[in-house]
Amino acid sequence: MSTLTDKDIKALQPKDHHYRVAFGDGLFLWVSSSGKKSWQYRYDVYLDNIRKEKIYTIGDFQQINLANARELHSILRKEVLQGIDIQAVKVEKKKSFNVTADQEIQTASAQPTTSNRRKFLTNMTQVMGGVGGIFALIPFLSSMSPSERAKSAGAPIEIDVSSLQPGSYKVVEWRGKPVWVVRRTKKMIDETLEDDDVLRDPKSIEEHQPTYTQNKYRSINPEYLVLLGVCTHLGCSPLYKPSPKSKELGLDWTGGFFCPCHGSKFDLSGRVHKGVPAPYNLEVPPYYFASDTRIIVGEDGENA
Amino acid sequence: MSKFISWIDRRLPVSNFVRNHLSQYYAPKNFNFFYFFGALAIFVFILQIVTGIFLTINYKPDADQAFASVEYIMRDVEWGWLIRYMHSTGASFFFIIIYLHMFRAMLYGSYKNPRELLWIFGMLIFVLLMAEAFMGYLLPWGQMSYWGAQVIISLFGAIPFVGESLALWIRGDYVISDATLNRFFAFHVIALPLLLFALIYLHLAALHTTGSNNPDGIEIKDNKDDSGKPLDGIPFHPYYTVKDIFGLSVFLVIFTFVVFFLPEFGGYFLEKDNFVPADPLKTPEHIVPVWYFTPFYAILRAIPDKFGGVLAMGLAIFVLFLLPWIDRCKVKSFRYRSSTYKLLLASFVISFIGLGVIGMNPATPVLTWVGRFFTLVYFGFFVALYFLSPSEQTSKVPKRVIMHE
Amino acid sequence: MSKIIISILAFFFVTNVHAAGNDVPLKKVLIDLGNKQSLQRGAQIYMNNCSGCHTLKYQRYIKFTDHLDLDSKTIEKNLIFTTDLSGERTKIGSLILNAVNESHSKEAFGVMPPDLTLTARSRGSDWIYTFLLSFYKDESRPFGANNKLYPNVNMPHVLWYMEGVKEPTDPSLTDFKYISSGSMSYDEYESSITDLVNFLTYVSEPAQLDRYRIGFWVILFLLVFSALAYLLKVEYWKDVK
Repeated sequence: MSTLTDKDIKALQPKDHHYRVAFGDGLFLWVSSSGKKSWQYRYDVYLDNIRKEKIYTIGDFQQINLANARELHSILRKEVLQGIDIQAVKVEKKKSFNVTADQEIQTASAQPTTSNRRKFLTNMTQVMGGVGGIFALIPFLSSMSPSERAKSAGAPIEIDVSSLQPGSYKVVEWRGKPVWVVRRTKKMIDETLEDDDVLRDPKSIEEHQPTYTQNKYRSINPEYLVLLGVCTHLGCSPLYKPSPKSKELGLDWTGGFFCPCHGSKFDLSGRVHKGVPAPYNLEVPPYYFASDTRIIVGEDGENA
Repeated sequence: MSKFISWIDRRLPVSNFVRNHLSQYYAPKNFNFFYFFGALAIFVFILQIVTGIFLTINYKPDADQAFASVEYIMRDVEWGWLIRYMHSTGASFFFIIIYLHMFRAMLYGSYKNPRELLWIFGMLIFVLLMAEAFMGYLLPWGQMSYWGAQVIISLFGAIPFVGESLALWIRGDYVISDATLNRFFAFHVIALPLLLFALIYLHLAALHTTGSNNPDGIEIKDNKDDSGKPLDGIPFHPYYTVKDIFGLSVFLVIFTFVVFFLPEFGGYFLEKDNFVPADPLKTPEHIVPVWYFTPFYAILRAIPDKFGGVLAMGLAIFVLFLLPWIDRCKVKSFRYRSSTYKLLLASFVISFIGLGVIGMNPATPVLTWVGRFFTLVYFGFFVALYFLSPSEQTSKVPKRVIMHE
Repeated sequence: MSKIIISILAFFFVTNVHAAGNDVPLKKVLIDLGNKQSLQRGAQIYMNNCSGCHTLKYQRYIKFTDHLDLDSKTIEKNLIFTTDLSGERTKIGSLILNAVNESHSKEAFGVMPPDLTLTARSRGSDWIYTFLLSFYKDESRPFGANNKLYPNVNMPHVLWYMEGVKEPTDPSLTDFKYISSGSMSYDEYESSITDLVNFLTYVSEPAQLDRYRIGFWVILFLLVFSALAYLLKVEYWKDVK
């Protein structure tokens, strides 16, 4: 697309063969080998799916400058897009007298194209209609978010651990998943693994626990472990295997959780072993102690 | 942008379509108030589909859960109450619009040659719409839902020989039950909307083939200019798109007023008894169909025989299909027809409304007799029209449309 | 022509579609859902006196936080009297149910006490109001009370201790006199019943609180838009002669 100005066009030299300069959307300046410069509008029509290029001569550059040519071109283009046969109209016009460029534009604009008031009102209506439409969309989209029933079912739960014996655990459902609370014995707490020979992520660097449980016990109070009982491999519920040195799990087993589906192993803090399919430590949900024996699962409480 | 449009046009005739059906589709320039209702009907149809989809997300089509699921939508689903009210109000407004739309056709003879098929498609849409509304009404599973359906389906049972088996087949059970609810749900949500969509398409295609009628009943295609455009026609776009936008916004003011301030509409749009869960052991005191069915219900009750009543009700709808052939007057618009016709049409309207009022009330002896009278007037309209229309004293129909301010 | 149509339409609006089975005229109650204190008092009266037998099974307690302007601790302490199967107090997000057993209540009352969530919509607020003001002493009834609006109702007059006991002065039930007083004067009792009916009206459709408010703005927007659309229409239609 050319960025030539009238001055540049004036200075254009004819070549051995006629050539044309494109000004975009089918507007061309035709330079003949004799130096005659005229404006053309080239557009396609389709007859029986066969493309035919039509050439409409707008006028001589001597009489019509670039700005005028653009105006006339834009009017003609609109007419073509509306399906008007501009060649036929031209023939009619030729039957009358020669019009100057300015007169052409005036008569063309007098047709029902858009006045300023019309444009303004149309735009305002479109804008206001658009705003209304967007507001109308809100109820429909919001209605798909969790309902009061879903929110109620997903609400935090309270677990009473006063009767939980050291070494044993309790399972409660929260948001459709099992939550385990394990009351660790002193021995279990003391023997919590430090190293990373056995564990994939001993320092719980991967974010599968709230920050206030990012320690080797993976809990607020080392005595109580709160975990989501969902294996981080493919979602089975692992088994609680607290006793060390078991027959099935081998002499190296120091206690923890074992997932029967594909053999993933986790220690007594829910941290995943190396060399098992599960990639991450068992998830710790947000929780806090409402009292020494009451744990609220589902909320961070003041620890957050 | 225009390059993009050209790309599309070579693969799908979008620009041609816009030209042929909007910007170069000529409609009579003298459309009045009654000509808003076709466009409004399309809008309400789309509204019902959209609100219906969002209701289906949360509604449970099970006899034990349906009623509670509607209350769930009203309370626990965000904005559920608004979606529900739009759907229930939309159903009633759909019928108001359709009745006014059909009345327009009677005023201006829009069912006459060459628009008979347009009218037939429209009548089919009307019948399907009644079925759609009837089935939709069972879904909330309230007392009126249950017992209204019970009454109407038992009408099918009145048909001799096949009646009982037919009713059994429709219900899928010996009484209205979960089986009935489930199938009505399937029909209401998918089957009938698809059929309606197809018929609406055919209705519009038939309309665009003949072009619209107008309040003067003149065929604008009879008077064309040199370039083949009707002298009394204007391109649908932008003139009627802009007018319909205005019509739509006024409609929305009224519609949203009802949705937000009067959704029950005095018990006519959402009936009080329907806030009680369906109880097969307890019949409500007054079983009434929803207001838009009451004229036909009144005709049913006017005949003392059960099957006779069913026949009369069916005939009352069927006779409307035949209107293009019953009305043999060559003049289309009532503006140029005889005062006899104007009187007949007025009586028809009064009897239709009167029947509607009667259908809403319990069948007292007085109302039953008035109902019978109005039924006679209703059918009398068609009989009189058939015999009087060929030789009607019509006034001179102008050549060109008259623009009223 | 249009005048005829309008008068016909006016006629059918006046026609009473669903006449009450009984011809007892209903007393009108003044419902004011904006009065949060009234709704709170109504909730308290309901939970203390009615929730033992009647459920509000489509309503959740937690909705009282925004609609009745109460915080969750207050609701849990003062309005929740039930527990779940494990003995824990019913959670605030739950539906308002109770422990009534169907066969026991059929034995005791002859009928299961109906759920009241939608009664204000199916029978109407005026009906409930009139009902609660229409109990009178009747020795022939199993619980010693009958109701003018709902003859031979199975429900006892639970609120007799508030209202006092009244007796008909003649068999046609046109007038009553109090033979013993309750904890409240008649005006106080009426006011309490108003609060209770106010609460039940809210429960029957919580959306009422929102829809008037939102509807105002929606319609205002649409009126402005209609005016704009009209100007646009007129502008384009200048072309059409």
